[in-house]
Amino acid sequence: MFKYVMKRVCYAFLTILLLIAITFIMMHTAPGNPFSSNKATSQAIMDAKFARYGLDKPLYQQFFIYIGNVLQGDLGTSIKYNRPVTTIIGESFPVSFELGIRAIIISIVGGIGLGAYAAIRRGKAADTIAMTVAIIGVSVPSFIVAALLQYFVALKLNQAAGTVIFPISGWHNEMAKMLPSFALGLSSLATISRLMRTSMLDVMNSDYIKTAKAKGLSERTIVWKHAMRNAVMPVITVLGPLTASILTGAFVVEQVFSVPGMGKYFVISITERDYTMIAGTTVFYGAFLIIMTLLVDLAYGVIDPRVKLAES
Amino acid sequence: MKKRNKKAIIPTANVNEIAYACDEVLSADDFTWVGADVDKSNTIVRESVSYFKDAMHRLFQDKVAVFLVVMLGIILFCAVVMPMISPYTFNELHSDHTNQGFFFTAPDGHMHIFGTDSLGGDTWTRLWHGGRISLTIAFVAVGINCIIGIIYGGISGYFGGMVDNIMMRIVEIIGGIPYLLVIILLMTIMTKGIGTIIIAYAMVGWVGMARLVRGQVIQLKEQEFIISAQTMGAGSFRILLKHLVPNTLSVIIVNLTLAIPSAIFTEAYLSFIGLGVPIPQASWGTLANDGITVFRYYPEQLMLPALLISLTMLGFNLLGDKLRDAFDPKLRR
Amino acid sequence: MKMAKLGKLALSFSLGLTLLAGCGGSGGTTSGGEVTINLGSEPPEMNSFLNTDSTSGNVLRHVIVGLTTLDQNDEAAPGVAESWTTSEDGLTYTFKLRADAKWNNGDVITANDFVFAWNQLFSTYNGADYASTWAVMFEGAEELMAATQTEEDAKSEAGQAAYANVGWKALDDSTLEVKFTGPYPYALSVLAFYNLAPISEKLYNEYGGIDYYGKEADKMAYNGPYTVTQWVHEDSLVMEKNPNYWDADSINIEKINCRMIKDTGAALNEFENGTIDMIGLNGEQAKDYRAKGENVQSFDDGSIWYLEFNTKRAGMNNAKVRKALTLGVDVEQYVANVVLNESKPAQSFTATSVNGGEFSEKVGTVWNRSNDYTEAKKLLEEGLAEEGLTLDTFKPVLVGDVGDTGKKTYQFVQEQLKKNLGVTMEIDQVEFKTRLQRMSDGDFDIVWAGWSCDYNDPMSYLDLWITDGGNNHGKWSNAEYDALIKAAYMEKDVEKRTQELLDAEKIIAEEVPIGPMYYRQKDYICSDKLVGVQRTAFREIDLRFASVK
Repeated sequence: MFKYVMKRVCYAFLTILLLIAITFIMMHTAPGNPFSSNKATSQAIMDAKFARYGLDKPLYQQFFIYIGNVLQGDLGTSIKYNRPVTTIIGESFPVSFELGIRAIIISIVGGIGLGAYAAIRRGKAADTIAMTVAIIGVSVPSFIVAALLQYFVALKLNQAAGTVIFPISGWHNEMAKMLPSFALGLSSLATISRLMRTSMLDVMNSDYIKTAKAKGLSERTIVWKHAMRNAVMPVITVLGPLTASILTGAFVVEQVFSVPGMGKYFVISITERDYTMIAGTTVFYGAFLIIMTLLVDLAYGVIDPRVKLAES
Repeated sequence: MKKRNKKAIIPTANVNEIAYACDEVLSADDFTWVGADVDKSNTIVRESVSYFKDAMHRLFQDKVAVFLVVMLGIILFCAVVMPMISPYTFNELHSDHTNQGFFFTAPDGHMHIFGTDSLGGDTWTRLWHGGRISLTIAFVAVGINCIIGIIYGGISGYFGGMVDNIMMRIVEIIGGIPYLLVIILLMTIMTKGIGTIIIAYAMVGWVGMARLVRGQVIQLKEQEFIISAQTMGAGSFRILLKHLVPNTLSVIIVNLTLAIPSAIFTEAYLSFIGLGVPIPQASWGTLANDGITVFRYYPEQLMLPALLISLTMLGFNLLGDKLRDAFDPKLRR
Repeated sequence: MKMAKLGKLALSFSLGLTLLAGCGGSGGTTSGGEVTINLGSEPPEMNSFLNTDSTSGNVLRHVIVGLTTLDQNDEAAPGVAESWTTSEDGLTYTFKLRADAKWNNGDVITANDFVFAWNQLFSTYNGADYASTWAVMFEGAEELMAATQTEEDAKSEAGQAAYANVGWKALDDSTLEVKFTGPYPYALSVLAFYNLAPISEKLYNEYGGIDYYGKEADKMAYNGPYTVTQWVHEDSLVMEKNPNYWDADSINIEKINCRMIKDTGAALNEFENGTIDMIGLNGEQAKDYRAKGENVQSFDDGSIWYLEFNTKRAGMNNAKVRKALTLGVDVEQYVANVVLNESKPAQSFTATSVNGGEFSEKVGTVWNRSNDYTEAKKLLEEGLAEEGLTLDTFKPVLVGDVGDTGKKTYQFVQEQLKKNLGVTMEIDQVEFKTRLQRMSDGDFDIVWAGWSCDYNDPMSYLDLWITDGGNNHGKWSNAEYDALIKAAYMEKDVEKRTQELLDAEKIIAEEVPIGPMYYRQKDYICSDKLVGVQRTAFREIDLRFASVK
């Protein structure tokens, strides 16, 4: 186990190094520079700015200096905002993280519930309704879902009620956090519920459930004590990739609902050629995703004793 | 052949003995040995059903699956044909009647079935042109992913050992990189265009397919038919291409079907962040993104592309599920 | 039945979530002397001497005052300077500072605060983008910039000498002497610009210098009508009335909440929800509100949009071709179909908002646009023939970026040139930064570009096209034009200067280095309770004179 974790950590480290290298090369290849603007600036000022951010050195030097700084926990200063990248990430990441966690909770609880319910009521109206919801969730892009939710659920509801029930945008209070989290979690909710339904159907048809039924256990006991536990297993395997997709998808939802999260920096820093910010967000996101995947894999090994990690 | 004939003669002798014992019953003369009909026993009464054919047969027995195939077929057909037979081109603007609704007829008599957009482009034509672009991106990108994945995964799995080790470590590292980030970075470096989106998507998307194929190949390569092929002196690449890859086809097809909607989604996402196909081209993603800014005023400009994206996504997703079921030997009746 | 159950499930689920994370934060309600406006994005640079962008400018306008300040007519009015005298030759100004001008911590603003700020601005190593724009106007500024490429240079003897020789001097605590390099009629309005606002050296260093000053609400000194009391990055910013401001009695609104909502749809939803009092409107939104009879207001934002031609490219090097391409676009229809508001087709290069429109009136209509394109087509064919080209071989490429209206604009221009002139133009749509790079590399045929002025004078537009000008991407060069602009720079006589600028404008109309398209109007709407908001080309958002009903 320990050996396996160490091995994975080593790969994670290599991946991040490679990621920095790729990012470095790509962002410096992209045409334009962080300081270009609509109005021309004198060459002397440009030179001074390049020197100020250490961009006047050869690329390989910048790379090694950067790696050294990253190891010391210093991600540099954002060129666009002129504030330390770590400060910006420190402000915005918790927001994105909370949004992501809420979305994941919604998608797991909602998805498992919906999927299991549909499986138990297989072929009945409830099944159809639940699966229709799931299908819509998978097939509508999140930016459309977000915009429609904001207009129809927030604005129209508020106007009908004559008071603010769901704030339109922002991240200021509990109600404001509901719609963005839901918009972000919907597609994962749909994926999980479909998976859960299939897996639940499998389990419900298995011999041990038939035995339990034959023994005269109540439906409730069968579902909750026997079926659910085993049916949930496949869902756990997709949590890793889902977490990644939720985190990257956050940008869209954050933009529509003006949530002060990190997704914005992720995209805008690239279009603005904010080199330090690009590298900083990439390193951070990359590391975060890799750690998350690792944790999910480990969790899977712990929950399901049949899985032997070292051999996979 | 010989064996069977010998066995057939022996019972004949026994029958003669029995016949002498019971006078009243049928005598041995009543029977004549006609011999085994070699031709008949060799004929195949029912057509032999290959695994693939069987799966397809089961797929097409499912009404939902047939409906999905027909629906996707219609969408594909429209995307290919509609822009060709439409009286308008996708980048033709009718500046004097913009933002018109369904079945708008201009003063001079020409009609726009789905109306016009904010610049006076024909919505119907642009919608199907967009479909063409979106589907092209999805199919080509996924196709490239698939080819790279099969070759990479096949080689890695078949040769095993050191080769496999190194190749899988590379995959592990590349797989750890958040793909969206790489796509965005690539898109800013290369000139905007459909090709760029395809390349960007394909550069990071093959990893999953490579893993999948490798796993399958490792399972298959220990089986007898591969060993016999090796014994008969088939080369590595012949074995890979003629024997291993065809046997992983079912897994690949299911995966392909599920990868296409995710490529369509990625394209839409890129459009939303301003990295979609360049004008005057249009894709479903860019159309939906344009529509979202005006959906309060002209809801159909959002709803139409959104509907097509959704139907396509839905179609491929459900079809993927059905295919998986069809290929699953456990569900075979 | 089942639906009801599902509903109950959803409800209990959402309640559960509410309990899970607790409560926090406040809503966006407005009451009393408090309003909420949409700023649109995070102010990226609030350090006054580094500022270049209008979003930060919109905040700085309310919290920082320079020697002068722009009044309700966009004219320079006394700011920190109470009064001033001008020397005979119009080059030296002596400013008397008010005794009651204070920083928000109570410190009195002295002449040294200006000297310090200007020294920072013109120290090249600080990298202030506008330093080179202003340096030409102040005596000793260009020399100072040359001597301060790095911090070491600045500390050297030559650097110190340059600091000693600058044209701005504190004669005493309340008197500042400023020497200009020419008799600029717009000198006083330039002094209202934030780059030239005072900075207290003591507070600047206390807050951590260039790396920290102006990065947080409490890391900056304020001397204007408001102070920033809260700044949640990328989310919101709160300005409250500054009790230390000398003219605090004239300020009506107690508290201004600024939201940073980028998505125009979301901003509109907020407005209709009653939670934001002023938002900008995009074309579709403005059109819809106008049709519904809502009180949509608009202002000329001072920008002119034009086709910039690369005069080094075949075809584009011919004035007739350039003129034909300019006349080949139906700008009125463009405004009606794409811009969707009351923006005006351009009549000259200098925008109408300059000098209250006086200058553009004098220029008059130099572009006779008509819906008959035969003449333009003839001109084009003539021009192309002169260059040995035909319509089949002439295939210009328009480089554009990915802005909101950009996509529609390029498509429209493409279609117009095709329809009206038979020109096949291709579009190369690139990212914003890539477009800038290609412009400065001269790697384009045509670019759709815009310009808005730095100060309230035609010169801020016209000096763009001098030979080797930093913004002259098309590399157009005309000796006569250069001479006129140079003369106007140093001309003391107002009428003569105006004439020179008018002549320059005429040369643009004849030679067409750029093809003017339209002057942009921006639309906005205020809630019923917010009145008296002023928005002009020079003051994009100004709530100093506004009040709450």
